[in-house]
Amino acid sequence: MISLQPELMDVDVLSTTCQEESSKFFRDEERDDRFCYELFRRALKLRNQHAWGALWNNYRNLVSGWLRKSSGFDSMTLTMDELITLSFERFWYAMSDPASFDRFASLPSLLQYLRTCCASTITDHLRRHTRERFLTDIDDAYYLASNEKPEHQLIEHEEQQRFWRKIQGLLNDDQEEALIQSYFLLGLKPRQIHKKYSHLFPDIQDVYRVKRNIMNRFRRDNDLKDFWQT
Amino acid sequence: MTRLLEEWEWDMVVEGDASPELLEVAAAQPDYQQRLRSIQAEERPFFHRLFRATCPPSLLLGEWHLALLSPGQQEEIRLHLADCPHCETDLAGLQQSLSEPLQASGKGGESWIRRVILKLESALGSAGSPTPAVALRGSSWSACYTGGEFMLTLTRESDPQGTALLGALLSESTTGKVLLRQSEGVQYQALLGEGATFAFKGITPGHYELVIATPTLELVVPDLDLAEA
Repeated sequence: MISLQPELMDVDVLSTTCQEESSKFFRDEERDDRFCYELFRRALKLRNQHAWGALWNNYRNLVSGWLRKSSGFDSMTLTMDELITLSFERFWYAMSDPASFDRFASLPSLLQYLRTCCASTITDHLRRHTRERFLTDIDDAYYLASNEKPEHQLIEHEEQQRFWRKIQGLLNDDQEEALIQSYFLLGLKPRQIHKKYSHLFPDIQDVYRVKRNIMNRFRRDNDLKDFWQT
Repeated sequence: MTRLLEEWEWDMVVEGDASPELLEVAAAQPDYQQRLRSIQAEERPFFHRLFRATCPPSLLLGEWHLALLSPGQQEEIRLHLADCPHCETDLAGLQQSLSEPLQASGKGGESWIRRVILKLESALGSAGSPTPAVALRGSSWSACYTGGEFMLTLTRESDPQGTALLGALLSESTTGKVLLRQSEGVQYQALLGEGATFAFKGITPGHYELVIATPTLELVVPDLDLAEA
């Protein structure tokens, strides 16, 4: 006999029941979310691989539809299969801490988060393209050997932040930090920096004078010597 | 005697903010070109390492939008958004993507994208031999690929900048995009035009994966040999 208590159900039965309830969801009919929620809980909180596979199968179509409707989808240079995989990986990775799952008390909140993973997969891909374009503009020889996997992106992001903290340590005051942050991190032009921070840089020449002082200081820094040569 | 420019004045020249007088003085310097190059080279590694270094990952922006973060993190990102035009744009895109009802994409049993692998059926080589071959050789050839109910003809031609590839898909009228990919990502992209044809020019010789992507279908030639003849 099959139990109707989701917590006691076998994953396969749970998955089938979840599918049935999902079709009601799409028809806007009254539904019971407990089965799908339990499938998510086993997959993400208990890290049950079988449940994860079932969840992937059950929601793949929905994820594909969300991706297709996401802002920026038309500019994607990845196949739908790749986007689906990256979105699910992102979802899995974001829930690697069991406590993360407890933030979601209902099925709609979990689905909204899964959709956020889809949208952010596309946003990050577009970000990389914008970054590539920006860096190619300033450097013809620029080549971005990057990886879209969530864990690699995290490492890349952490390395960037570590380097930024090192640079911050070489800056003397708010004026210098505002300048370097606007110039290198946000990619603003000196003219824009002068306009944005006219109280710090009353004249555009002030932007250039301060920037040159900082660059020369960077040149003298022992820790940055290797960096200049790379 | 020509006066020497201060370093920050050279920076102004590079950025295009120099006055006409300053430009005139710069152009008269014997090491003009070399100075410009060295200033540009000096800043590149910083841009590589720092551009958007403090921007939160876009998933974090999504979590901010869903108010899933701690009050401290919410405030930190709010402050960042107030200052960063790039993240402001990212957030607008995310918000647009999340604005529809959750089930909107699943209604009507929307089908997911079908993926079909195409295999080489026959090829004619450049020697003009009418004999079909099972492998592609030479700098020009025509080949026929099939998979499921689909048939794709590809023609490779010499191109002054590399290789040209022309394709025609035997299918009902459909539109989409065609990608030539290598392990590091998409190298070339073309539109699948009316009549389901497409063309690439100036392709660097090598091995590629060809993907024809339409709203409901992906046709894939996994190993397309466009190596040097």
